[in-house]
Amino acid sequence: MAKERTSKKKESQARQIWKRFRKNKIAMAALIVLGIIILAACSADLFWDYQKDACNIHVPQRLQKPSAEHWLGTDELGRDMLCRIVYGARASLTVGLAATTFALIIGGILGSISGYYGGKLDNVIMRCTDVLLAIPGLLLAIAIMSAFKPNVFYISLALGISYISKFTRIVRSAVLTVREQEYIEAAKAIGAKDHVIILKHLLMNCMAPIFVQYALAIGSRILSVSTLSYIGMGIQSPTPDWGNMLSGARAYIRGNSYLVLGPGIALLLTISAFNLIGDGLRDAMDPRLKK
Amino acid sequence: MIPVTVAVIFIVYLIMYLTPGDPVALLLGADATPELIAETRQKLGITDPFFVQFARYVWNLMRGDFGMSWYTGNPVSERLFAAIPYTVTLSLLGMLVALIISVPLGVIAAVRRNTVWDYSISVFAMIGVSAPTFWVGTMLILLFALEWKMLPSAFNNQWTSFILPTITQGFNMLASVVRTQRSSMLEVLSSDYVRTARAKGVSHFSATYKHALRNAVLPSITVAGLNFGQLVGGSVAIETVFAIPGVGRLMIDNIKLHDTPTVIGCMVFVSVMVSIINLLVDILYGLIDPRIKAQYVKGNKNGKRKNK
Repeated sequence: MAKERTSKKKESQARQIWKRFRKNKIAMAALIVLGIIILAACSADLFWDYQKDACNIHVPQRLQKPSAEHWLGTDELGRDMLCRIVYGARASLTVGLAATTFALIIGGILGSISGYYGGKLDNVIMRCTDVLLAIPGLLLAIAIMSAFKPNVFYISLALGISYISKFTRIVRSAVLTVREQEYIEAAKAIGAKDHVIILKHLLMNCMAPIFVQYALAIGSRILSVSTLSYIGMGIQSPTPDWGNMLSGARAYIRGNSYLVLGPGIALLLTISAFNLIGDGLRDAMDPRLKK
Repeated sequence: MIPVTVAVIFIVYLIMYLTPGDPVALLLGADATPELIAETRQKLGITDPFFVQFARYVWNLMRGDFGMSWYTGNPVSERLFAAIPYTVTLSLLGMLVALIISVPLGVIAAVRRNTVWDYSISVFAMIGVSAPTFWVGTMLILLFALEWKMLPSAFNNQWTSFILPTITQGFNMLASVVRTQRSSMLEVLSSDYVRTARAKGVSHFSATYKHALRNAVLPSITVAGLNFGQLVGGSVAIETVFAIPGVGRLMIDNIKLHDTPTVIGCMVFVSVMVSIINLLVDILYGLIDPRIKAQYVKGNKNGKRKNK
């Protein structure tokens, strides 16, 4: 029976948050935009042939201005811009999600251990995050990338590693706020194991800041992957990515501003969608706004 | 700070140590004799165990010796010191521009809360957070250099060519500072002492800009300081866009060449610079906020500092 009650309460809390989130028009718009982007990325194969349209070179059609045939024009190698932008969403979203999830899992484990046990272990973990935070995230990712082949897996790994320390700190401080609560003491008193307390009682009750950070982090990781690709350390051409599209267009921007506008606006929309959703979640989960 | 720096060097050194790439093949070319290869390896010291190499590197670093570039054979410090002025100037100018523009914007947004001003500043800030720096830079080049021909598109050592990179650099940080400034200003404006000031007849202007602003500007400085690392990291992309021969550019070019000593030198320099800026922000805090100074004088009686 106890289980039923907790699950019921959790659902209603999630529903409350969703209700408040839904009232936030800007955040809802961001959610819809993001939905469209994801849908487009998933259904791209219905409209184009990945190898033929997004990767192969068609020199006779290079640098065509936007027209009825090519809505956003063609790039410096004659490929349809719209097609490449849509396929580019795949790379960005995959890396963004994978890197953030990786950072969340590792940072979550370290942060909750650090916050729950405290003492020496806490000290050691916090000093380690201090060190990692002293290296600018992008430079750390670049250094890691120099050791690996630039493919989606390693890019996610590199961008994830450079975000672990932030998640560790956030999870730790979130855990600290609930650690001293009476129900944690009660769980300890009935002999619950440490991992059960951490997973079921601690983390379940400090999800709000972690969720918000998760949304914001995806945006920041997408920004980083495009930067990595732009400087040539990320996703490599011919695989389309917004960053390497912009870098490829660099020599041709004079008179061809559409080459820069398309991928740039795609990046701007995606990243701001994640940021706005994060902000909306923060507002919706803010306990001061309850009632 | 020093233990952190040594640890940073350790991590960077470790990553670079694990990076594939043979400096000897790079230095001597493909048709070197085995004896020559072995001799060069010995000379470079890359046959030693990792910790010996690392200890030697730190020892040399303390004397200002960053090692020799594998690619050019010149001391890394020489190349590094040629690049440092650009990156430092650009980062500091960018931070300054960001603070100068964003603090007033944040104040306006807070004072005229829920008006068109507030909303447009919020939209501006959201774009600043979300737009990639390299894209902003490219757009600025497109508009100011190619379309209107007002400013040079690439770096040419004149002060005019610093304008666009500085704006680009500042734009990203600007956004987070605007948001911080707005929320802290809102908080302070509704605090008791501002109400007291109004009640005792202080003018609206003085209450807002003297009483409130002085207290609301602290979080912005912290945010600017904390984001400085991000700013320096982002300078890699900006230096690429504007072809500035700074540290970020040096690093990227040499990663592609597998010139490990140069790359390590760049990373070490940037990390140390970020640590120093964070330290400076802490000191600045003490100067601006008398409460913190008082805390240190009293021997930290009240325990931890709140603003962390």
